[in-house]
Amino acid sequence: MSDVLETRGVADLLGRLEDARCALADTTIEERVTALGRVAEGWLADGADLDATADAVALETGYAADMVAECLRRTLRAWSTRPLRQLLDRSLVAPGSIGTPPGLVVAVLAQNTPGLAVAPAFTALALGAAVLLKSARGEEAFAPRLAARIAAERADLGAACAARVWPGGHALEREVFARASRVVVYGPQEAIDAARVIAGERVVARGPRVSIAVFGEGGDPVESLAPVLAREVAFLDQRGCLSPQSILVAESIDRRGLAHGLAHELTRLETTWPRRSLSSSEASAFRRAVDETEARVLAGTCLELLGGVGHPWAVVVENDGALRPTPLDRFVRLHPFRDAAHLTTLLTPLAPHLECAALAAGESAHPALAEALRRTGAGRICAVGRMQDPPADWHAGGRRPVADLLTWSDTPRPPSTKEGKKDFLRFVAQTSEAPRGIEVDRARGSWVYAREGKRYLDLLAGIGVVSIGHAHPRVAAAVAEQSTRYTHVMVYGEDVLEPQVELAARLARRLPAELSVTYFTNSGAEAIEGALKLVRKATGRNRIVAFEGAYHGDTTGAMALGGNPFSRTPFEPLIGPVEHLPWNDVDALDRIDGETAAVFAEPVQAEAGVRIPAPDFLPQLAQRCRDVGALLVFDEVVTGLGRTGRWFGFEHWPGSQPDVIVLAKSLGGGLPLGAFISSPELSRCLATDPPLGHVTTFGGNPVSCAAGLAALDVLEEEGLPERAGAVGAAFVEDVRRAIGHGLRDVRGIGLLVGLEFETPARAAAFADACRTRGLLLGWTLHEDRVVRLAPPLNISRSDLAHAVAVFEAALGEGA
Amino acid sequence: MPSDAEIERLTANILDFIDGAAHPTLDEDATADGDFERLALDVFAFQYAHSEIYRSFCDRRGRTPDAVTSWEEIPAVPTSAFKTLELGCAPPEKTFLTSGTTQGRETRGRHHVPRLELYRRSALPHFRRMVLPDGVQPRLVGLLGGPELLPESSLAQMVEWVRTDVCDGDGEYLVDERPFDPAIAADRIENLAADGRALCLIGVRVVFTALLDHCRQVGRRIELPADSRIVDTGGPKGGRALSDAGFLRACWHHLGVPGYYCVNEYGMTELCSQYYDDVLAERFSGRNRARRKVPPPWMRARAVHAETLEPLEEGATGLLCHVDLANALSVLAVQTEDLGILDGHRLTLRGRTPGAPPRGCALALTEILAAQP
Repeated sequence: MSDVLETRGVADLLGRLEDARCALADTTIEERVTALGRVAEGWLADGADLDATADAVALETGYAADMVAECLRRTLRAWSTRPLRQLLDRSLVAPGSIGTPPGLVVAVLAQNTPGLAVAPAFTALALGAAVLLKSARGEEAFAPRLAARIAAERADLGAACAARVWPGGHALEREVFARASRVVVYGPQEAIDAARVIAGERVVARGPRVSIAVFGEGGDPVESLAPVLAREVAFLDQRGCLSPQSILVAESIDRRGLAHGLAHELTRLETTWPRRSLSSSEASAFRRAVDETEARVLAGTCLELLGGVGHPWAVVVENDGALRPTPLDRFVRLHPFRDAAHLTTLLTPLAPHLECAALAAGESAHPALAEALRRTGAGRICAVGRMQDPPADWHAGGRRPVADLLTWSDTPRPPSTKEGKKDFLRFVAQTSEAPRGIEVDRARGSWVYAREGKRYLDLLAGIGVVSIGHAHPRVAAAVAEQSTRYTHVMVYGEDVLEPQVELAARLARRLPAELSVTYFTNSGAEAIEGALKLVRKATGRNRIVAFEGAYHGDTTGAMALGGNPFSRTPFEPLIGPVEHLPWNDVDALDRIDGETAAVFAEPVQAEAGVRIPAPDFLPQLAQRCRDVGALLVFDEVVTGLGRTGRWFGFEHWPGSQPDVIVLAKSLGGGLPLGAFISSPELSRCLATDPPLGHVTTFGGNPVSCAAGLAALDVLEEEGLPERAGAVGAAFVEDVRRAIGHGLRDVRGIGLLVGLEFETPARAAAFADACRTRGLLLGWTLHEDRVVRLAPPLNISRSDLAHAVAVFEAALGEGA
Repeated sequence: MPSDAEIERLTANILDFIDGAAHPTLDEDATADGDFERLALDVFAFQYAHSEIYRSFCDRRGRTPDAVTSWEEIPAVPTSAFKTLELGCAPPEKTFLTSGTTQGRETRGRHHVPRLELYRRSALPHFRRMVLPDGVQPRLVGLLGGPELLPESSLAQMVEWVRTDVCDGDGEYLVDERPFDPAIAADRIENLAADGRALCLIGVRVVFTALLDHCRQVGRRIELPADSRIVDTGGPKGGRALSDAGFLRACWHHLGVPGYYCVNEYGMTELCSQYYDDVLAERFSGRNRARRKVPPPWMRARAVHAETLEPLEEGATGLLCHVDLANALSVLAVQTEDLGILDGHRLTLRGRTPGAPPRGCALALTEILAAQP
């Protein structure tokens, strides 16, 4: 049975499929094709499992188990390595045009035939897409088994393939289809139309089709053809589109003889391929067709009816070429035709729907009849007995199994980064002389994908911003929902905006009781600016103390607090007075005096090289502030919200609770959002005297707050702060083993990690070597010997192990 | 082709039976199937002898008069065959056509009736018994077209006979070649009701529905005179039709006719006899059983398996095959597409055999050919 997809599981499933698809970007088509081919060949070799699968499919469809087994074998043979490779070789080449593979292919197997899931699964996975197979209700045995076989052969392909069932037409389906690049629908026109209502032009229709057989002069004797023809008719009880419903027989051939031979063989087949039990409606349709035919026999408009009521088949010998409906379920009509031209005329009504035409004729008649069939638009012309063996690259009914999944463009997206980078350098203001310049195409989880096709493991998470990974589906959903409700309504602080209120309340519950009122801003630097105004107004003092090596942002007030004269001096004079004390020096704290409005500090100095204070430093700092009446402001822009293994950095040092805490970076889940949080008494300073003493237009944007709430949910639900502590400690230990080759020290707290090298040159060489090998990591602003790591808090252990392996290789290269 | 004398002899036998038959369900002194069976086997032998097509049909089924010993074994001709075959044992006095269905471009079935008198003499007594058991002679109001408008309709013919023979010529039809206007029809019914004579409204369900929908929409209630009654004949299709329960409710709300004065007729072009709900007949015979449909004594039904056509046990839902002695000169036994449950002679309809839903990726030629111009 397939898993049932429920609403609450959609985002998670699609997220995992997308992650798996991204991971497939590291594999080549050849690797994928080889693996998929092995899936087909391995299953064919594993007869016991194939037979068990056939039994399960037979049980739920009612088809004869032997027939299902043959159907599955034929399907798997058609999709083994060689034909699959040929299919892709032929399909991916189009002069002057380039095909872009899909992201997610959703295959709707409405009223499916056994083994049908193989085609969409293999084509999508071979192209590097993820595939979600939707089985028809009650016909759910095959797709999950296929997915399991793929996963057993190759885990990364298996991760990109899922089989589920879900009700059609509901919100859940809309959500799934919304994320699909292509929705391939195998089923009746109603199913195709329903999918088109939601997915529009992204639907690739594999609608029902009709097949026929033609017997021309000079072919093999009808006695020898009757057994194979009977199997074609009986195959899947004519419910597959490859079984003939009508058989056109040259007038010179004994049509009745062929009919009797066919009838005889259909009777024999009942012992090995018995027809399934018909539903009452199918049985009624069959009986009605028999009734009508019997009447026509009596009326002389039809030559003979063989079988019928009481038989699990019916063969009708028609006396003219006018095609008539059949109810299927082994009900076939034999019509006469005069010549090729007559055949063309007779088949004209079928032209738009003709799938396969089997042709049996002698050498002299064959070419003209084949040409006649081609003119009718038959998707495939084959020998009788080969109808059920379409090759993988068969252009099904003129439709292309692979090309339909691609987006074709005559002006291909340049794989080169030259133009994009040129424009970047020309039109976007630069912050250094040698920007990294990766042309980002997309990012997902812990990985960033460049347009040239390379992917990078992101150990920096956008400088600690995307702590729950890139493009987290929960954040994406929250942004989508909020942006459809409202984005910006009024400047900050005027109206009740639910996302703001909820996020502020959630933060208050995470912080000590005194820190309960949040002022939202757009960024960390802006929050520092607000905090500066707050502490000055609250204390009536103007002297500020900060620390050497500190970094609080690049606005003028924040920069004045920065502890690196090299960065600061060109922009002076900045606000003052600001005194910078040495970091981690308890004795220096005496210089905090009664004139001091506030002390600004980072619990861990990130830009100074991940400098973790001594255990007593921050408590003593807090005590000194209390002693002199100065306010303590902790800049937890980097260290807040789980980065260090606790929700807030100061929690590592009991007794160091600040009066004001500043947050940003990961607060918005990847969207711009900052905040400074204080007590109700302190925060009131900005509301009066003068009123509107500190306002912001965009601060606390509702969309950013909604994203922040989603990120907070993920942090809480997945326990990411605690995980960061455990995973970070193990990671630091692993990296420490690589010390040497210029790497002098490895230190970290949670997943904020610094790698200190002997020289800046060593650090730079290491960073370059890592980037070449697909790792993104960062230097620090104030310590060029230190490489700083701040990966997503949910980075997998295997990704971290991969990073360690790359570090070792890069260090080895540097040696 | 039978001789005139043979035809007359058989017709006379049937009419004698019709005139003298006690009803097996409604009459306590009714006899068993003996007379019916004897006559049915006679008619079967007659039709086997005089209809070459029917003879071939029976031969294909291996059922000849020598082999058939009960009326239940008589081969029934599918209604679909009436579209293809010219069935009958004598030149038709009149040919009725089936109404067709919503399936569109479809050949209509043809019922050739050699002696209209058999039809009339079958239809009227059972109508009287089932619709007018209290002896009321109402004024007829036809919610269908009259015989001039619908000359090929067996129903229109029957209703006209009801108007002329049962209602003493008093009545009219409210459907003509123009689109049916329920407001005008309601006005006319109200006028006809003004003199207090009971009305018998008879017509097809979709026209009744249009009338009752109109009354509901405008909040109209027409008080029909006492003893008025309603006969709805079901099809044809092609418009909104109230459910059975909804129909009865609406008749009460908008026409003041209680449910037990509402009688549903079940008939078909291919048969000269009809079933009616026994609700009124039961009421006036002092019984109070749940509503069922009953045939006249000269018609029997059997239920068969929808796929194998094998006979089913009583109480099982199956395809209905009717044996109608009034069809003595056309097709005695008719296999329908209607499903029903038989309780003795009493019938409960269970709809029609469903169309087969699509399954698999094969496109049925039906869909392609139906789309051809």
